[in-house]
Amino acid sequence: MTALMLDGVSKSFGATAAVSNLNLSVQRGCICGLLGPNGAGKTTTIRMIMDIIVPDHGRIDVLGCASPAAAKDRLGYLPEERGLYRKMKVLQTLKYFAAIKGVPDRQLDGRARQWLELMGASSWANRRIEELSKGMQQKIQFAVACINEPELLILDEPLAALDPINLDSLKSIILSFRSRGTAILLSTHMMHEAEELCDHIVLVNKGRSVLQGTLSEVRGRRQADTVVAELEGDSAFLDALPFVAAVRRDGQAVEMSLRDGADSQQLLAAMVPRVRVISFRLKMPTLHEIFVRTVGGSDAQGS
Amino acid sequence: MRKVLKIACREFLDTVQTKMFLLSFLMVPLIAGIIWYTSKNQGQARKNATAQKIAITNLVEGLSPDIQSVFQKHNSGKAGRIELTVTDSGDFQAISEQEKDLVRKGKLDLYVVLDKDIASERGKMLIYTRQGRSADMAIVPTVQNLINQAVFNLRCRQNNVPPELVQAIRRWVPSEQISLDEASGKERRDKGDMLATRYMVPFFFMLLMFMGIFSQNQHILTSVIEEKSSRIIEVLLSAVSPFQLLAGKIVGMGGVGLMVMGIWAATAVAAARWQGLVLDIPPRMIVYFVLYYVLGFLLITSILAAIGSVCNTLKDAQSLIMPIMLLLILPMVSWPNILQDPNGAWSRVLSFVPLTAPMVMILRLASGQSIAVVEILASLAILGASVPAAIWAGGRIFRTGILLYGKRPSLIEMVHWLRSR
Repeated sequence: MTALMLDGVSKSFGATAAVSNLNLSVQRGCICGLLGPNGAGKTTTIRMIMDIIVPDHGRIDVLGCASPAAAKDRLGYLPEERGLYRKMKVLQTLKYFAAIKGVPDRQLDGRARQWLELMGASSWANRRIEELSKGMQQKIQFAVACINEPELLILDEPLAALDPINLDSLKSIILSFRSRGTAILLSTHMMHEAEELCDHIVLVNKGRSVLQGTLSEVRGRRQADTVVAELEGDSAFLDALPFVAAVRRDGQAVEMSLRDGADSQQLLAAMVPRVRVISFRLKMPTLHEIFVRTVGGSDAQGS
Repeated sequence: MRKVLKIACREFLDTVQTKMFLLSFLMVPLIAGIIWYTSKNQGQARKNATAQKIAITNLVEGLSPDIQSVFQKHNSGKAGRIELTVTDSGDFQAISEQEKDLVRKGKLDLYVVLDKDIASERGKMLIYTRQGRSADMAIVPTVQNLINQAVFNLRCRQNNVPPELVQAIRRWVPSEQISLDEASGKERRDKGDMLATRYMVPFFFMLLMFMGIFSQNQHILTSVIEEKSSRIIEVLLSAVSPFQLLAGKIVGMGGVGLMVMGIWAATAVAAARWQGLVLDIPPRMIVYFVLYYVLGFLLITSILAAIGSVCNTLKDAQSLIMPIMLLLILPMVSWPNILQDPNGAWSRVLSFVPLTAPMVMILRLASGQSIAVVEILASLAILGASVPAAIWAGGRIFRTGILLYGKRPSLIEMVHWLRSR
């Protein structure tokens, strides 16, 4: 079931188009990674979903409501620019945000304490926010975003600046939301995290979606790009093959980049009569490589 | 609506719990109390003060006993004691230099030389004081007065006229003031106190209005700027709309204002009763007060919230709120003029300026002069109409400004925001 759908959404600030004609959908029980370089329009997109800024064109459908404002109590949002009232106590903070997110009064205390426990911060309940370490504050902010048990959770760089232990605990909380059927839109720069968490990827650059699909689809599209082989014999002929773009040698191992449209089977067929093939492996590009190539490539096209 | 109330509640508690608030809340009645107390007990204080030292060099023949007797009479009275030395013989030049030196050194408060012919002709008394001691000046009129009395006694004796006779001839005719109320037709005798309350009550009403509107300034600005500069705003906006946030703030701050003023007013009434002052405040004054306060408060708060939303620090905000503050202070500096002529042109003009109307109108209404109902309604209507306009414009600027960091936008940019969708 679709929890979030953006249909042809555009937004300009003056002459610069921050987001143009963006389509995107997030299913319940899925994590969708919104990836892109700085200034790609990720935050603008998220702010439009949250009804903080109004799109110039297009339709945003949040949890079946035509207006995002109507669904606010069912959303969780962790903005990239985030802060809390410095003088307020931790428990008070959680209760206050739960209250303005529509959690009923009699559940406030229980809900706040439950999240404190989950964050391992029960002993901090009566401390002021300003006394907390940065990592602890970030966890409280995360709890604030989730405290209304949202059906759609929007996380803008949720894992930045966390130590490994906190990183794992927040990741497991995100995954537990997914297993409960929450739709999650996750914006991040950290590719290995996106690889680990996301089911679906949307890569945006300069306000446009440049790559979209499930993680394996996105990777699959680049599948035939690189081959790593171990060969016995003289491999000099490889440099002359028309469909090979580049060859890098490291002892017996050879890594070959194929030209667009070339088939790895063709390469194997060319090797077999000339050398002994000990191993032949298609190298899956990492999300990092895909990111760099796609964004770098579209930059080259643009200029 | 629940969200608005929750925000209002937080805003209320947040404001009430600050030290600044507690301080200003207690300071106002405290300062008022101190002023009242000292002005009431000034006479008492003077009596208890150390005696003033005065030396007189008298060149008038036969005046010295008169001087001694009037000063003695003065010292036995309520006012402060004067320690007097009179010289009427010896080397005047040397004595005069010696005494002047004592005045210079501060060992003597006042030195007076009486010319030989002051009783008969146009001679002068020369009064020497130490430069830069304004506290001594209070004694000068007293001394002038006492010496004149002594000279009066001497002149009477010289002319063979009994002083009692002259006093009887010159006796002041006592007077009594009676004020006539237009509405009830009652006659009321004004005592001294009543005159004071007639001036003080309108002033107090205006002061209360001013403090009520003014004291919330800092809180609304800090609250908006804190949310902006510590980046709480986006988290908040994920739960509530900017208009809900603004409404919550205004309601919360309004609550603080009403509470504070309620307590101040109750304290003032209780204090007046205790001090035996008769306050005559008709109930409609309270209705007008609440009406003007609520409207004035809404107007100011929406303007300030808009200003706060475009600034990143309190310092940024100072220059923007300056013109508004000047307008608010205008009735504070011209209140005696307004009270003297509540139906004059100046008072009328200020009654129709939305920012000054609450203070000026409450002053005029409390002055006891009748003001045409049409005028009151017109002033309320102008103020009332400016409130939704300010909330609408303030809300729009707030909505855009609150998410904007970096350079403060220009006024022209803000006008553009008003027109944007």
